[in-house]
Amino acid sequence: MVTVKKGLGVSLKRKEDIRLLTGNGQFTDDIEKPGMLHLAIVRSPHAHARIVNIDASKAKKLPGVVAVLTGEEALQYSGPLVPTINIFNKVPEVYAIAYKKVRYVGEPVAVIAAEDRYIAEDAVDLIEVEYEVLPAVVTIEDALEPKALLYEEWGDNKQLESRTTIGDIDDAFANSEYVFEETITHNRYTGTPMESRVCIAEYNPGSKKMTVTCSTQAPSQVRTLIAQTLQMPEHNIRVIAPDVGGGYGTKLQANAEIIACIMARMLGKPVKWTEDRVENILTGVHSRDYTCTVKIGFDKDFRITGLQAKLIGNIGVDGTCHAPGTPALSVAGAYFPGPYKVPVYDVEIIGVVSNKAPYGAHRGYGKDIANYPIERMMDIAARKLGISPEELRRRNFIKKDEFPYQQISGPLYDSGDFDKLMDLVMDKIDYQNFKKKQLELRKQGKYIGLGIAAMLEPSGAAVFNGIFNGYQAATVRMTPEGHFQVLTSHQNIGQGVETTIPQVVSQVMDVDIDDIRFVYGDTDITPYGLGPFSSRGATYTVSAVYEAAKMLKEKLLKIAGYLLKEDPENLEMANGTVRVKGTTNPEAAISLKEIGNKVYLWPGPYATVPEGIDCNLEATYTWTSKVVKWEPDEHGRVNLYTTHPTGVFVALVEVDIKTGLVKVDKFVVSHDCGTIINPMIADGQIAGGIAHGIGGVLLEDLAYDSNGLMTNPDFQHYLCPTAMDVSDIETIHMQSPSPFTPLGTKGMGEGGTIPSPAAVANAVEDALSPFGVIVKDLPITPERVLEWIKQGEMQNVKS
Amino acid sequence: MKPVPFEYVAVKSVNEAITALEKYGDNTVIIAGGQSLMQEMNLRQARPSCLVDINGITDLDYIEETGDAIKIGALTRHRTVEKSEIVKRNCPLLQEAVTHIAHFQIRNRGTIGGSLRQNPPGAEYGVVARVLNAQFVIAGPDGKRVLSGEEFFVSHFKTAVKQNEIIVEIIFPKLTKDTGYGFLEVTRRHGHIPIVSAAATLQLNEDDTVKDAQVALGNVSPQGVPYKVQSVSQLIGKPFTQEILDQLANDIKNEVNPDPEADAKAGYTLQLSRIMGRRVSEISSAEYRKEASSVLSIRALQKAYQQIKGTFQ
Repeated sequence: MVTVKKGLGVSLKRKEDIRLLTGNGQFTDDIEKPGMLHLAIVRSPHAHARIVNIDASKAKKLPGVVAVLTGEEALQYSGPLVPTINIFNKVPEVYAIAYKKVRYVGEPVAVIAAEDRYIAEDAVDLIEVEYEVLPAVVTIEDALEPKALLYEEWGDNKQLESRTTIGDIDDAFANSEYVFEETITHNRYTGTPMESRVCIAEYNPGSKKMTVTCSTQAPSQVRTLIAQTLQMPEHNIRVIAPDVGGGYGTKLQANAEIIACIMARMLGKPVKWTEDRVENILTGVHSRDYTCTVKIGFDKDFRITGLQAKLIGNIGVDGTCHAPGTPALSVAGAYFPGPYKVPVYDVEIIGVVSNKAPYGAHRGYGKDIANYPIERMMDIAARKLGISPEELRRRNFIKKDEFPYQQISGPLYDSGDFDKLMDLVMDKIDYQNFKKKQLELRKQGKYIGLGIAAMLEPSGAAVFNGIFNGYQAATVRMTPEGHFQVLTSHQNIGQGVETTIPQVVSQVMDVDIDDIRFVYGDTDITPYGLGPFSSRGATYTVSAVYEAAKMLKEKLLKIAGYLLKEDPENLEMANGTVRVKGTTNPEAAISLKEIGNKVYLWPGPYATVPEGIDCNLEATYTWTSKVVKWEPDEHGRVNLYTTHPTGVFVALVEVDIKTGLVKVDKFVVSHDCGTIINPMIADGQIAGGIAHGIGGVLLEDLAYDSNGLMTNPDFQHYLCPTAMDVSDIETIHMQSPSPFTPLGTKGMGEGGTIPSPAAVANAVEDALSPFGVIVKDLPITPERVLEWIKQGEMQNVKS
Repeated sequence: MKPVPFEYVAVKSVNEAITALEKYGDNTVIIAGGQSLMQEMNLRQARPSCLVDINGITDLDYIEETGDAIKIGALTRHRTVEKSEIVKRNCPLLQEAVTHIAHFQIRNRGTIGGSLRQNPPGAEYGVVARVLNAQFVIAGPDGKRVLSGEEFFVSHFKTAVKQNEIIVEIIFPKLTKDTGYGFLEVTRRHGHIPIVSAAATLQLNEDDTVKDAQVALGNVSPQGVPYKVQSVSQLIGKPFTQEILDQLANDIKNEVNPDPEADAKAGYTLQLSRIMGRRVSEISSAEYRKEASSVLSIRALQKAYQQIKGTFQ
């Protein structure tokens, strides 16, 4: 039996997997161009230094070396890096290749083009750079002191500084029954995509056209950045993104890519730069790395009376031009209240620059920063209040009938039901039984723990001022044989769009997804638009595709009505045909293939298309959100996110109190992302997100020493979780469709990452509650666990 | 991530290997499985001028049983040791230890001789070799010599094997049927290089007092060599009680002497663009490693005890 694969809510197998799993994918590094040169980058071994002199004479003499380019020489071909995003932050003058000063270990200082990568790397060793070393700003304290200034013209090391107060916070705390304050910190970590960044740039000096093939999430946005930075006409630039091995937010900029463009322009030859893993960890964009002091008040019924947060993020060298990281801190500021009702709110945000690598996006983009301190705080407060963390959350959840909910900090939440999510997950776990088992096992010296974290995932950011502004165009096109192409700038980065986007079109057209192809990854082909970031696919791209498909369907029905001599109102689409509603009479139906054939080929458009209809069998729709509010109100509040998936995540862990090792046994997740397109893919997103979360809380740490040297820039020392380190994950879905998107869908790529660190940290504290352990700095290493147990025991002895 | 230029010589015999090592100069090294060396070369942490590829010396790939020992050729892959019936029957401690080496893909390639010659901190073979008093057969221009573990391991990433020598065989004594054993590690993640590794063997007298007990630890000595615990000898002649184990736990903590500074010194090296890179995976505090040494030693002995008693689960 032939099964027709179509529609929403169906776990169809991913169309792209056959290609990828049989080795037929083509990634940028797989591509070779005739006469192509290979680049290697000389990088700074110092965190902060003035460049006194660069002597490339020996390198230039090495056979096979074609060119060496320094930051100063690059000024002939390129301006400074332009801002990717700029909201209320300072914009530094920085370049793709360092000019005058280096500001982090790994910053490009000179670039070599050679006949192959081996020679290029040999030449790196031959370039002599003289530095005048400056004091390194590594920690937040160093930056605030300031130990040195990264950008002398700023006068301080603050890229971002803001404060929003709604209500009288002092008064709220004064009138609270209970007030708790904690300072919560988070380690620095990154997205570690399977494929590092790669860029091939070709420049034709005759046509003045630049073609850039690169591993990016956002071809159109990269095109704009290249045009602005190189000061070239954008219509002469074509960006191609073939198969991309993951992004996780780390491929949303053009900084190193600019280097390849400069070289191609200078040499008039194709050049390839392939980022190696050390370069990726050393200089690829980083995230998290903050300290957050949370103060929270409760009334006698344990309801929140006021919330105050002071967030200081360590941005590293820059989070505006190198990569779009800095505003993540502002996103945190808008979302600290999370799933809870907060009557009074005060938030202060400082983003300091330091001599660490650039700050960028990484699965969560500040929504994780909003989540971790608050979800940790809820557990800490619950323990102090003597009620269960479940109950404390329930008392403060926004209720189902309060959606759409205007959060105090600005966002408008579309839909959700946190109480139901908590019910679902608690039923699955059998909480009472777990608690009983926990006590029994403790008698045997085994320490298991359960940690809850509620999740709110703002998805689909539309940020003013820059390349992340909430614009999405989609074209749906029918071929002469009645099949469909869908064209958008939404890049496939592994999230399953070659399957889910056709599912959306199949829902409208009632055809098999194998008859629909998602076309992406070439700015000369697809409409201008934004790539996947901020979990925006199911909010923006799906909505644009859906509306475009509906427009095309309407046109097809009109043409079919004309050909069948029927009122289009009486027609429907079914299994690749247009027919009179409900009929099985073949005379009252016409296949899409026949329509396509008639319009495009035999006889052609003149006899087949009714008057007043554009005979082009395609439709383009640009979707923008109706609820986005860019103009700040008197408190500076805006609403940038259209949809908000919700969830409750529970981590079950076991801690070995003698070695300090933490094992995550299981994650149980209740999750609501509105209308689900493909449940299997949704589960995969949640699982992948949890893997990132487990990595961040237990293993991954971009460690810098006091000189600003990163001590673990490779995969032997920077520990990503393997499949063996990720627990079993059980996911229960519910669906509260968003009222703000046409299909009720919500983007959901980051939801797994956002709450899982807090769930694990809370579970570790629960497991070790007999010792009064408080989880402090992350990641939770065995060594730290033993320290905390000792500290807890000492506290217990004292009290 | 490309190595510096190097010469490459593939050899078919031990004699050819030794000749090549002598011929191509001081900066010539042997490549076997390449699971550490290739990575260090690609990171430009290691810059050998010549590689002598011994993968063609197929007669160094064997596991043989003699009267009271098993002999393993230096080119034997970890996976072969792990799957060997001879090892399983005669030296199950070694087999258990090998399963801790990285992931099976790496075990398919990496060799026993390569791991021992590299002597990275905490490596499994070294710890087992020390606890069992294995012997190392080394061939050089002047013929073969046999070293004990004490003689073989010198310091971090360093052994007594000279530049123009090659390890050809490792001889592990058989475990007697009445010997209990245990091998444990603390690793940050599955298959990762251990923070501390521990191997123990135990024999009991008929009256249940301890006949013999041995413990060796990885990554706790200031010299960067597998360490044989002294204080475990206090168990001999005494009943295997919790009380005496508590005492031993304490003594081991005081006995071992990890030196994070020495580790750090051995653990960092220059790589591309003269940026410092790390060679040692886990540089934990001395305090933590003392703690872990004690915990793992006791657990490994308890495991050995339970094995003897048939209560091990």
